[in-house]
This record gives sequence, structure tokens and C-alpha cells, in this order.
Amino acid sequence: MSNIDHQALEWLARQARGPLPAADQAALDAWLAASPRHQGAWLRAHALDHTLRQALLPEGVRPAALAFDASANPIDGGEAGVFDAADFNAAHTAGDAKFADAAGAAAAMKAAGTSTTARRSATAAAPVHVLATELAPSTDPGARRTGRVFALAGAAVMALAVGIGFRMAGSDVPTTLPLQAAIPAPVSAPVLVLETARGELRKVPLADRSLASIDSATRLEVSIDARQRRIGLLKGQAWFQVAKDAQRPFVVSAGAVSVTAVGTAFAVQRQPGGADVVVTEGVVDVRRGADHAPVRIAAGQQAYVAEQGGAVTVRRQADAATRQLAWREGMIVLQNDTLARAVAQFNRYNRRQLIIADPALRSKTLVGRYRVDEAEQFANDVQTLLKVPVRVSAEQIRIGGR
Amino acid sequence: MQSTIDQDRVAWVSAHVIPFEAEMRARLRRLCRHPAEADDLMQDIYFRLLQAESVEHVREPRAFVMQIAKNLIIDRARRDAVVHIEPAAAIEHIADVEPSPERVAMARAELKWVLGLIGELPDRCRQVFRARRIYGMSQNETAQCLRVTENVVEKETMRGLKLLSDMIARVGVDQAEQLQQTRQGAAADKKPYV
Repeated sequence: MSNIDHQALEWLARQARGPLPAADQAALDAWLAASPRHQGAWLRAHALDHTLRQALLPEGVRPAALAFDASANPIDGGEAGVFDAADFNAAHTAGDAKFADAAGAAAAMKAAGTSTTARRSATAAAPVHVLATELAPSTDPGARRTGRVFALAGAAVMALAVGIGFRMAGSDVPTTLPLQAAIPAPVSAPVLVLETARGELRKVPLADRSLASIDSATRLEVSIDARQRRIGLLKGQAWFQVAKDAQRPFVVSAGAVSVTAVGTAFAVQRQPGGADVVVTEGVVDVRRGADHAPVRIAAGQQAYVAEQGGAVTVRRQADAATRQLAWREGMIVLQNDTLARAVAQFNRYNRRQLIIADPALRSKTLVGRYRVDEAEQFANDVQTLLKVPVRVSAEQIRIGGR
Repeated sequence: MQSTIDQDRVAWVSAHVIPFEAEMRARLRRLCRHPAEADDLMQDIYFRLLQAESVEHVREPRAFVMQIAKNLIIDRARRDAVVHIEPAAAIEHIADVEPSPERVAMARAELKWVLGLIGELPDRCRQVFRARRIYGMSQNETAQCLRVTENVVEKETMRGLKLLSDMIARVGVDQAEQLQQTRQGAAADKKPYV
């Protein structure tokens, strides 16, 4: 390993802290121009950062449910650190091969040295995601604590949370209970409800070994058993990387719109009166209601599907799919998007809302790349770019108007 | 050369090259006289990946990358008029790689790998990394929580990143399983980087 790689990482870290002063930017440019190997290392540093983002939180973005309390010390790990490989294995060796195996996961929790508040629902005989049984709705303080530590785990994958969480069960970090299991409907498979708060992003492995990336302010109802895989998207947006299983089609319903996949990756976002579908790998079939003939959407394509009538138009834009899915990395990417659309995106993540006070500004188009929590930075840039007043208060950021 | 890089390219390299970098370097080392030569070659490969017109069409990324390596080695041998690439046969087959695992399996393996690598970091470093990247705490909050100065948090974050960068060059996603076993032995192994 060379020094050059380390230099590239230092530049990247410096750049991540904010726009570089002109002198530093010039120094970076000179460093890059000095050697193709510097440029190679620069790409590697970005890719490394990207790899970490995929598994962890982007630096500076926090799970919204986490209210910080300096007196509690949830990360005081030392030997028994929350993310030690040992914890990971305890949770994972049990969980990895059989996410569906609630008993295995319960054993993993015990292995992690905890008393669980496990509570089996009557219908849990069918394979269910471990959380559906372990987090039955309850007012039991123990159960609440369980939920709380899941909130702490944030974007870390659930199976890990099983291992991590219980070490921190004693800590006193007040958060809401973000994950609750709904009472299973009779007959059909038990339903696991996954909810994210505003500003919270989360990756969750599902019982069938698929992965769901769940965007801010989203509610999903997951029902997976031996015969079917059904996901209800009640609000918000999620991206799915679907495990291949021809016997059990993977169906996501957003109101009357349903999207069927066998083994592929795609995102669905609820919109007023319909849903946006973006396919990143393979193909999916989109239906509206039961009698509508399916429309096929392939990798790199996207479509808006209205719940009531209207032809489904499939669009293809070279990089649009990846750009639209920037939220999975905690980013908002604007490529000639209108101010109205940009503001709507930021407002999905932040409690402090952006407000466009002057309607004439709504259709102004913008280009840029921001972390989802950089609403204020965004507003400042808009102020400079469009030469409009911006007023910042604790509750909101008003753009334009007087 | 601009300091901003196309994000699609970054995502592609992150998904298809970074997890296999250790394996690629091992292959390159077999063809080079000196380990440092292999490191240089790897950087040249990244530069070519940066310059490539498009990578979206690539079906077997690892074979694609090794093909770049092959071209680079041949170019260099021609230019230097020095034949230090050992047997011609070795370079002939450098681009023969097993197909990559299925994407879903891959995503899972990658997660395990990255978390395993973080587990290998020295204590202080690991705590800072967890605080910042798993709990999403700010630099200031991390400092309070761990009762250290912000300066220490900043330094440890950087140190962790560099250590991870070095580890990725040595331990690939296919070796995630071995991370724990090597843990005790790794302490000695890590020293040169601390």
C-alpha cells in the first residue's frame, strides 16, 4: 500500500468537511495533475468511501430516532464493543443462513447475553422474519427497550441489531419505537411492519434473503411465507434487491399499483394518485388493479403508474435510475430538477421544512448534489444562485418572498 | 483532471473492484518482481478505470480489470524493453476469473466483510468509527461520548480510514470468514500501519 492512497483519503476527508478554500482547491488540482497514479488513488478513495457508505451511515447522517444524550454512553465498547466481530458472528452465524428462523435468532440473542422479551404469536409457525415474533406490540417496558435499541442501530442491518442491541439495553437513550410487528391477520402469513421516521434511512434483510433499503418517512408491510412474498408500500419509498425464487413471486403493492419481480432490484415510491417505479437490475411487471395487462419495465428504465387510468409511459434515461436512487446513500442529486421538486425531496428528510414563499420560483431548475440533511446549505446556495432572500428560523427555512 | 468524479463510476468501482482488490493484487504480485510494482500497477488500473469511456456494458468486472492489467503490463514491457514479466503463460491467463457471485449474496457478503474489517481496527479507532458511522453522531457528540477531544476524534477517524484502506488491499470480500481467525495474529500484522 502506498502513501498516495493515504494522501487521497486525506484530501477526500478535507473535501467532505465543506467546500475547499480556493488555495486548497488549487493544491488538490495540482496534486491530481501531478500524476495519473494520484488520479487513480483519488478514484479508489471515493470508491472506498462509497463501500463504507453502503454498509454504514454516510458520515454525519444520523438515524432520526436517535436522540443524543451525552450522559449515556452507548458506544463505550472496549473489549465488549457493540460491533465486535464476536457480536457480529453471534448474531450472524445464527441469522445468516436462516433469517427466517426465529428460534435461531432467539438463540443468538441469548448468546449475546441478554434476557429477551420474546413473545411468539400464534401464527408464527410459518417462517417469519425474526422481528415479527420478537417485537410483538407491547407496552412492556422491556419490549420498548428492545425497540429503542433497534432505533439506535439505525441503518445497520437488523440481524446485527439483534447482536448489538442488547448490549446497550441498559443505556438510557430516549427514542421512539420505530419497529413494530402488526398483529398477524388470521389465515394469511404474519405481517412485519417496517417504519422509518423522517430523516431515517435503513437497510433491512428480509426473511427470504432479499434486502430492502427503506427511505425516510416510509411504512412497509412485509408478508413472507412458504408460498408468497408480498410487500405493501403504505407511504414513502423503498428499494428492493430481490433474492431469486421462481416459486414465490415478489410483489410490491402501492395502492392499486402492483409491481412483480422474480429476481431483480427495483425501487417503488408512492406518489399522489400512483407510484414511481425505477428498475436497477433485471425486469419487473407493473399492474394497475387486477385486470390491467402488465407492463414490463427493464433495468435502467422508470415509469410513473397512475392508480386511475392513463397509459403507463416507460422512460429510459442513461443515469436517471442511479441518480433517483441517490437517497440510498443519503444523498439528493439534482439534475435540472425544479426548485419545487428539490424542496419536496429535502422535506422528506428534515424536520425543519423548506418553504417556497414565492410561487414564481417553483419552476426554476437546479443542478447539485447534497447530503439529505444539508437543507440549509441548499437554501444558501439557492439564495446565491437565484438572488432571492432566504430566512432561516428554528422551524423552517423560507425561500423567496418578503 | 477535475476533482469531481462521476458518481456512477464511483458506485461501479465500489461494487465491482473494491471487494476484489485483495485478490487482484495477489494476482498482480505473482507477475511482478516487487510488491511495490504491483501497488503501482493497481493505481494505474484505477486511473484507466477513471478514464474508461463507459463501464456499464462490462459483464465480468473482474475479468475486465485483469484485462486492463494485462494490457498495462504488456505496454510497459514494450516501452521499457525489459522482460521482467516471468512466464508468458501466466499473463496469458491473468484475466481468467471465476464468475462473480450473485448480487444478493454479494451484498450480504460485503456487509459482513466491511463490518469484519471495522472489527479489526484498534479499540479507540473502532469506537470512533462506530460512533460516527453507525450511530451517526457528530464529531462533537462523539468526543463527549468517548470523553476525548474533537481533535482526537478527527485524527482517529482519519486513522481508521487509512487502516481500512490498507486492509482492503490485503483482505478481500472472499476472506471475510477468516477475519476472526486472523484476529489474534493480526495485531502483529497491523503494526507497520499504526
